[in-house]
Amino acid sequence: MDLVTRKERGAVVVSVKERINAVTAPDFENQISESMDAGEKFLVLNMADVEYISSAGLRVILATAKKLKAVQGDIFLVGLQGVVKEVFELSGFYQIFKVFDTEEEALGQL
Amino acid sequence: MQPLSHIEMPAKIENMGNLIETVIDCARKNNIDEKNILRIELAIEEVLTNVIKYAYESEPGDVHVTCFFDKGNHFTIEIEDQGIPFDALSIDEPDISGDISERKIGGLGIFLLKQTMSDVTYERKKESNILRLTV
Repeated sequence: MDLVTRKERGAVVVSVKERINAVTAPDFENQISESMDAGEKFLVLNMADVEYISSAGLRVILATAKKLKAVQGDIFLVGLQGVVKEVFELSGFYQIFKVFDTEEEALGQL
Repeated sequence: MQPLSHIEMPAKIENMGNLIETVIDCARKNNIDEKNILRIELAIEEVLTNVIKYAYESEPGDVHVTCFFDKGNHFTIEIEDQGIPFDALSIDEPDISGDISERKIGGLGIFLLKQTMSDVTYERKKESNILRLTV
């Protein structure tokens, strides 16, 4: 799983470059956990380059969100498009997550 | 019904890519648009995940994936296993109304495939579970 990670304004900003499916989701989960391990509380997940996500990916994102909420942190999603956006809408995730068009808008929440 | 493609492989996670790719290639050759191809990929991944995890408890077994046009000329994918009888369509739908702390992890796969396909049917035929997904 190809992720690009950086820190900005107290948040970890992760850009996902691959499809998130049942095969890639475990690695996606491990890498996200590692990025947040140092006590980071805010995650910006840029999905603009992701054309596909299945329930295995939604599971990782929800589990991550629950962990961050438990430490008064938060997760911001950026750049959902096409069928990825559709999957978020159908699953009800679009309504419960904070979703932004750009990283700048997401970072503006901090 | 004349199959457009057929593949059978052991129901194992390492075969997921090949199984999905066979269906995608077939859909593309039959002029299914890219948005529907992503929906097909989603639907069959969710079914295959279930088959791989639950169908064969002790002995490993195969999964068969066949594509065809149904009587109404709709692109259809049939996924068959010889595992324990299991109607994935009968499981309760997840409650998608809660906030992040209330939402349960998991249970979305079959729900998503029902939402993205125009029709999904289950049949137990002799020793087989057969799920038919119509785009």
